[in-house]
Amino acid sequence: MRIDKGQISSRLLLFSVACFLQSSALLTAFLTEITRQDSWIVVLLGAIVYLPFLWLLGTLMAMFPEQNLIQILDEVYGPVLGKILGLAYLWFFLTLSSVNLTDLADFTKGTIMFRTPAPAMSAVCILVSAIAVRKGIKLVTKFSPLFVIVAIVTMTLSTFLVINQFKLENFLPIFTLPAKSYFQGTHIIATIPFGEMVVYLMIHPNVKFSRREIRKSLFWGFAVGGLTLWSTTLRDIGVLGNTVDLFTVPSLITFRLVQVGPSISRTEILFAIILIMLLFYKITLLYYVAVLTISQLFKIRSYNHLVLVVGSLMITYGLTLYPSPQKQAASVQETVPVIWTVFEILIPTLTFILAKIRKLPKAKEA
Amino acid sequence: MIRKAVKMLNRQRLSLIATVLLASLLITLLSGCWDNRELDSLFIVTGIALDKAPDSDLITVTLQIGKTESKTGASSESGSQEDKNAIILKASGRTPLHGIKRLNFNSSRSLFYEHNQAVLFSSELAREGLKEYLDFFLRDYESRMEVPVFVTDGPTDRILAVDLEQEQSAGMYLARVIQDLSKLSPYYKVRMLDFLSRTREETVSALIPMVAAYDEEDLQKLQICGMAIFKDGKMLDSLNNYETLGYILAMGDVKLIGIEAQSEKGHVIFNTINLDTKRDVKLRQDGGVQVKLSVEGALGIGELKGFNGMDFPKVIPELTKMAEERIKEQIAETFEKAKSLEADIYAIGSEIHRKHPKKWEQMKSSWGSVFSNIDLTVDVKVEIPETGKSMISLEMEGASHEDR
Repeated sequence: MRIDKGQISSRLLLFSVACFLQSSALLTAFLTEITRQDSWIVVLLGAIVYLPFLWLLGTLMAMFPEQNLIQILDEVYGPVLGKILGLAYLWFFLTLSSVNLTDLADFTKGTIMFRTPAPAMSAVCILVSAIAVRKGIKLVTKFSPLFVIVAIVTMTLSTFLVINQFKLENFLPIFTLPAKSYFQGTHIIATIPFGEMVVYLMIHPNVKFSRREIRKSLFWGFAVGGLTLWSTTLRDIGVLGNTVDLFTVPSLITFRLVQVGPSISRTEILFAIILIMLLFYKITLLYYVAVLTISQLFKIRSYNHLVLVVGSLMITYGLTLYPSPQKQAASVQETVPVIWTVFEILIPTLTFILAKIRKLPKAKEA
Repeated sequence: MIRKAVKMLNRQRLSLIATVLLASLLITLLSGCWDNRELDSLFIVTGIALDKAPDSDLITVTLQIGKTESKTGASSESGSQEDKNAIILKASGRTPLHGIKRLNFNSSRSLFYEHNQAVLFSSELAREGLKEYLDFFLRDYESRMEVPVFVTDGPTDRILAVDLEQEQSAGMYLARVIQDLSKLSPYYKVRMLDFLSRTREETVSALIPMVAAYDEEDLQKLQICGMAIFKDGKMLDSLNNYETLGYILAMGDVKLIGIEAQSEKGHVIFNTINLDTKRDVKLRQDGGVQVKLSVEGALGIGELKGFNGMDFPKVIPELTKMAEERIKEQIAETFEKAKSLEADIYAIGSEIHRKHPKKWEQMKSSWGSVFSNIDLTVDVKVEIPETGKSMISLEMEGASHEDR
């Protein structure tokens, strides 16, 4: 049973993946706090570590082209265990959506609208996202190429504008931190931005693709998003030097430092625009996935009446997740990567192995 | 069938009306009223100064407010005073924010820091240490990291209250002066971010431009009078403008500065066309450090005096020698002062840390004494390709018609 009948092209999937990863490129403080001037190395390591799992993701999509994650779990683990795992994924998707919604509200509150309550901003975002979610995957992903291009242009422009403040010596010394920091950093990068791509297992039945195309789209989307994350980290370290770990949003400070003559300065509004734009995209996609997961789990044919209910749940859940941004940062560095590993790496790997052993999916009888 | 179509149309129309109404409602209710900040309700801060409060452990926070209109909501009784071009608000507190919060009690407008042009610390406060006062600037969302910092020679409130002819406020004046100086050499400008960065490196000494106020023919003026030397967040001493130039030359990337040289034959002022310094830091076997500075550049003649009777081809080698000696001497003098203070203003320790992190761990604890024993070699090579509009001066051979 496919709930959303809309279909997108594999090229749109590429842009969607790129946009999804780019949104994490702007909030790198959780990493720079741990690995400081070596964060760029950790981003590379994280990408390399995640590559086999990206292949695994593409393979699962190609193996089960007509089934989304919930259906795959049902088929591989059976109706009982499959449903339990499905419910666990529902919690994962809802948590992911709420965390990102809270991030967006906290960022907007902390930088542009200091006195506006965070739930009010979350509510506005959910109301707009709900329009896209109701219309389905086509509208959810429609603007991803535009968002990706705007983000790339803005980031490239900002890099050129701060090139005069970029110092190569800020990257030195390298590999002087304890090995634990590199391991922790790599784990964070592999699970938090990259591993979250597991959400695409809920969307791939709506993508028109061949077995080869799906891996290509995933890989190129991953490459564009990963490169953005890497170049953003490089730029921030090169400009901010040993102060990079002091700031909660290093990229915002980098944009604030732009000063080319008396007229080109104070460009942080550009950063705010792209961050809000990209996070909005990520939230909308995750919101769609959460709604789709509920519908799939409870076999609801039309999810339209669920949209605002799930949106409200996301807002309230987001409010109760963390008591403060500091607790959230600590959790992102210590707890979240461990829990996320189960959903993003362990279960998909086990599913793949079991599917291979059980020779799934079984060919449908004529 | 027709009835059904009409019903559908009505439903679509109703849906459109509902959407428009909802959108209007949202625009009205969620238009950011919580964060509305109108210009007439703001005090735009153009300068922040911290000083030691007289006869107490507190600090004095002085804010300079750019005037947006003639009448303002500031009370003139409790700690605020109006001057010609800007308003000065002053309060004491345990920390910068504590002082600022107190200011809210005698001001009818909210303070807006996004356009702050300069942060000033008094030399008295700087000598006691600034680390504990930087947190506010680091944490506050409106406080900008690119704002230039200064140390004042004398009370800070006097500097901010100076009524300048050239600019509306002292904060703006200082920001422009330092912007102009940064075109000569980037090392003149020290932003809050640079100060924080250097303060975080335990063994590196930060430098901050110093500013002093003086009176000249009934006019109040401000001038940059050197650079304050910091070690571990505390001001140790200062460099005068001459010594500062020695530091600037040692750091390189010099764009356009004047270098003055004198010999028995005459006096000359050179304008640098470009001048760069390459630094080679070597660790010696005995645990010491050897630093070689190679200065290379092109100079133009700005002004000549003397060199009587000499013809131009002979003057150029003489001038080259004078320039090279002068640059060498100036760099060495400042270096000696830094060595005597054990203040690594050149960030040589950072360079060793970056290039030899393992050896640095062994040297770090005794860096002060290692730095004070650095073996410095300065190698200067300059050319003088520009002479200005004239090749000769009136005192030189061939200048007079009778010589021809």
